[in-house]
Amino acid sequence: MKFNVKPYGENAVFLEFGQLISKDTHLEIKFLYRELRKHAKIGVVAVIPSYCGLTILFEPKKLSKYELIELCQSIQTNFSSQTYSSYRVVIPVCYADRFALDKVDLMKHTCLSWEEIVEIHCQTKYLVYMLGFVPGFFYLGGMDERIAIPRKETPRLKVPKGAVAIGDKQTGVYPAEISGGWQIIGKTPVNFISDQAENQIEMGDTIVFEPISIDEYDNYTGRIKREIFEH
Amino acid sequence: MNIEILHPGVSSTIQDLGRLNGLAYGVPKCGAMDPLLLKYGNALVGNPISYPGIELTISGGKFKFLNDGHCAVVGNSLSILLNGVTRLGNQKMEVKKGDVLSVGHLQTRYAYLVTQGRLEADSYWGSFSTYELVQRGGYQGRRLLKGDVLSVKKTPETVQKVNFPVKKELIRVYPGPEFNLFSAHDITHFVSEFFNVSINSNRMGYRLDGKILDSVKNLSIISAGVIPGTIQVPPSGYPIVLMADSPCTGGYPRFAVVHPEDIGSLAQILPGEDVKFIWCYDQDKEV
Repeated sequence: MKFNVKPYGENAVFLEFGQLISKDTHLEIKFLYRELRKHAKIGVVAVIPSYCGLTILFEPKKLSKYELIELCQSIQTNFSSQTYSSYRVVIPVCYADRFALDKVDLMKHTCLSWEEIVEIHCQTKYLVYMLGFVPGFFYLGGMDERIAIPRKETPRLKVPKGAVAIGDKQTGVYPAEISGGWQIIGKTPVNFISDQAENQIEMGDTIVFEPISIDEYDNYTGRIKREIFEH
Repeated sequence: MNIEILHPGVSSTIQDLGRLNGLAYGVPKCGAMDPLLLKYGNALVGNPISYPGIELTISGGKFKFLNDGHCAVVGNSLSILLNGVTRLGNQKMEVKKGDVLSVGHLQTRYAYLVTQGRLEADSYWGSFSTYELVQRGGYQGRRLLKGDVLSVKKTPETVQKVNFPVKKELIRVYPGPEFNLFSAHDITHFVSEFFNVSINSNRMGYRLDGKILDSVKNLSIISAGVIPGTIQVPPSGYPIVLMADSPCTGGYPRFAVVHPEDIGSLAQILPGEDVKFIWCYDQDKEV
């Protein structure tokens, strides 16, 4: 897929891969992102992958914008969706009343029982398209539209850290106590804002939510496991 | 050397030059709002330029040295008292155990207190910069409070020349990724009018009041990576300049981006004061 080069000042550039969010576009972006990370020494300073593009920061003294674009084009000719494995990450979530602050609204809006909502939320495999907004926040694709619900009219000023929530056709986890308008359905004990390697979710990971009891939530001391999902 | 905070001012945080390795994981750059000024301060006291310093905001602060050492306060038109005696800013000062340093109300927005040696602080994604939103980095991830004691680790003096950063009157801007979505009218007006830095501005972003850029009204883009200095235009039409603590992704059109060397001059503008921009590209060429 051909990308458009968009200007972004003297030490950054944005590569745009169309305007359509799709898994195919995601795989091309993932490949380029992973390959570019190997070129830090020659002047690729940082890369931010997103749904349909890559924001690339570079060091113009080491690498000109034209050299960078040529590098990206040459990487692209070797594109293969098989090069980088996809990892599966299981995230434990407690859907008990104590944490499911918007349970009643969700049941009313979807006309489903709580058991059905939890089952639908947990049986989907979600793809991490990108991270952003706050540390450890992952943008997921693939939610079943039967459990979609509009965002709250007035956002909460403080959503609890670890809250699992649904906003329109998206679901995700609030990794820190911040303001937010998504409807809260549960809570995970996993800490996603810790430093570097621990509990790090990567773009391209596949996420599954697994229901746990309040006891399991209270006694959780583990770390998330990343297992190869498909190659 | 140890330093006790007697009065932290409105907001004093530990900042270095920030972090870039977490941008793909939602971790913002953070770091000094006026990076060139922090570099200058570090060079002045003989530190590597990337060392952390204490970023003082608008109201200054008061500090007590619990040991002998050297420090400097860097900024514009500073009023500094050491044990009640007026001292000059932007100079290396020798301090003795028990000395009290008081930095008065600033004439600009940020100043830095730098100490000879490395200020001990928490590291988060490879940087000592404070990131208050998730309470990580710097001193316990938060702004300094009265009674906090910071320690400074003795490190070898280094020699390097860094000039005092001259304040730019016109802030240079380059076109951003969505520049071409804006009308010629907006592009012209952006540099012909003054904008006012809103009181609703902080380390995450500066909102600009004044002329509304209305050619992209109600347009949002697919969320994509953003960098500090980006000028986004939300549905209101009032531009927002993303600053050090801004999230690394955003969904508003990225109209322009501030020249990296001018970001500090912009950061220094007080709420309620005006700013003027100048385009920095060849207008005859395609962007």
